[in-house]
Amino acid sequence: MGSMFSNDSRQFKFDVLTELAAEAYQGEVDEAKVQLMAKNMVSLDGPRFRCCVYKEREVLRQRVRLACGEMADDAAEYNPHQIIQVIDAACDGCTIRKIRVTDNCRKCMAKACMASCRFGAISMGSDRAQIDYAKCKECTMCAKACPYNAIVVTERPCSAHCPVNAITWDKNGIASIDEQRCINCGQCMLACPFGAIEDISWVVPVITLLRLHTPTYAIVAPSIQGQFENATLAQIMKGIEMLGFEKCYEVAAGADAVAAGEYEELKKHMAAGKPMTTSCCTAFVNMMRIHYPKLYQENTSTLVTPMMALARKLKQEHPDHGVVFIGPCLAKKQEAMENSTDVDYVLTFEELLAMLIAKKIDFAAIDAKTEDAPSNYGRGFAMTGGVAAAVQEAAKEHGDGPVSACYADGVMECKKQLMLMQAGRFDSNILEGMGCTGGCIGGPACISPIPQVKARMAMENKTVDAKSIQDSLKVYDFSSVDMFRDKEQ
Amino acid sequence: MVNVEICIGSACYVKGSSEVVNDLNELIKEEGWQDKVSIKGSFCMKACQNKLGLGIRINGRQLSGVTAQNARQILKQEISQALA
Repeated sequence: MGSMFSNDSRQFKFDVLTELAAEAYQGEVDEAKVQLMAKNMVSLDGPRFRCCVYKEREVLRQRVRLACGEMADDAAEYNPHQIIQVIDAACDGCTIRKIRVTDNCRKCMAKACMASCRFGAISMGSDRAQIDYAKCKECTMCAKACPYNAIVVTERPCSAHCPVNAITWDKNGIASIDEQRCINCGQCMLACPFGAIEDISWVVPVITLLRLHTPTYAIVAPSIQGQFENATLAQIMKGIEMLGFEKCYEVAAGADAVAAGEYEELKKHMAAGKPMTTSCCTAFVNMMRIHYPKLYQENTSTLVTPMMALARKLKQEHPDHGVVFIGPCLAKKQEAMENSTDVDYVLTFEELLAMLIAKKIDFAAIDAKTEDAPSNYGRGFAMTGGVAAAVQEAAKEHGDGPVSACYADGVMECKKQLMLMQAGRFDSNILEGMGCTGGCIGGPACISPIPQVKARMAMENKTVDAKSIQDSLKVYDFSSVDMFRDKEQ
Repeated sequence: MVNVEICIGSACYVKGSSEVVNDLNELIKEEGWQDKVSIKGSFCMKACQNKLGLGIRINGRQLSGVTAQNARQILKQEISQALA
């Protein structure tokens, strides 16, 4: 198998998914098959990322459990709401937050480090400065003071990238995720260089359903456009149908309906003199719900996500069909497992690619043309700035405006803007929250890098007739769909 | 023809409903029911919410109390009755 991803840890995760998808298309994946897979994928000759073949097989076994929709930890209770999980056998237990003196230290005369330390934790050793970790409070003052950058601050990648302090560790340094705090954004998974944090996958049950010819629709996130080299959106959608789905729809149609709905909601917010935050990013909405409950009550748009809007429409029209969302997002997996959901399963682009390889489907060889498309505003939900732009367009189409918007690009920026809003210092009409930097095209399960995806999208959408949101909604009618997150509203 | 629908929703799947598909396939072979029984997958049929065990329907009638362990025995009995 060739290399698809630039780093070994992601490639290995992907190889497991591909093997598993191939097995699932053949028939039931049972324990014997998993054992055989572990033996074949990790032989005595390698690969060797860990101390020994036994540890490596244990890591693989936990990966397979996750990839089969089970908990990574055998003993853990089944909880499909916690998508991001720690593979404890793979966790390196790396240094927590530690200040270290490197060999850049020249034992200089000034000793700014010692002077800067207010806890008396630094002394001069025989060849370099030394830190007494019993006294060190990790304030990082010494690192800032050293003119040679000889003192480094290393923070665990997982906790450094978590915006909501959901990662803790046990006495051996093995990471653990606080499920009460986690927003399932997936940033820790992207950050971990050991591949020790991964998302639970439902690729096996989805393939089982397709194998049994269960009528199922696939709905694809706008960010799928441009993910695959030499493949148009029409080819991608046709290729997905060839996997066994009855029909594939663009979630961008749901995005058009959400943009129109959020404009209506924005009018109420503006009349009440308060800003509105967007609802399409599940990680951002989770962040508000769990960590900023007051803002969640007051400011969040009450609309469903575009995924849920389209799923509700399809289920309303065809209650006997299943709906599988395919996107770059891990938080969407959790959203699909909530109560009152109309999405049966969520797959990521990684999992889709694994299925395509298992079924030997090549997009480039498919003959397909676009039939009818949602608006480019709906498709624009895939990138930062696109959601607010669509709501602004909806306002313009109604002769309203101008409406001001602020973009929170990435979870850390989301957190910052929400803190400003909480302090009453947010002065735009809309806060567009995107958990991933760059928007969904920067999502944790994307295949291609952002600049390539953007270029391919722009090129392809140039050929599509410019359509307004209202025109799109004449084709994709959402007028009888309940568009609110809490159905009874 | 007896139609057996088996739920492969997330709750039933994790309790082993896809193993039941396997068991049923074997049962069909053993009993020579290839032309008499068809297996279909299904999305959630609310067996989980109504505490009915695994979601399984035979000719549209929902069974209750089925688990991955007793599925083979119950299905054998139910299908034999439906065929009789």
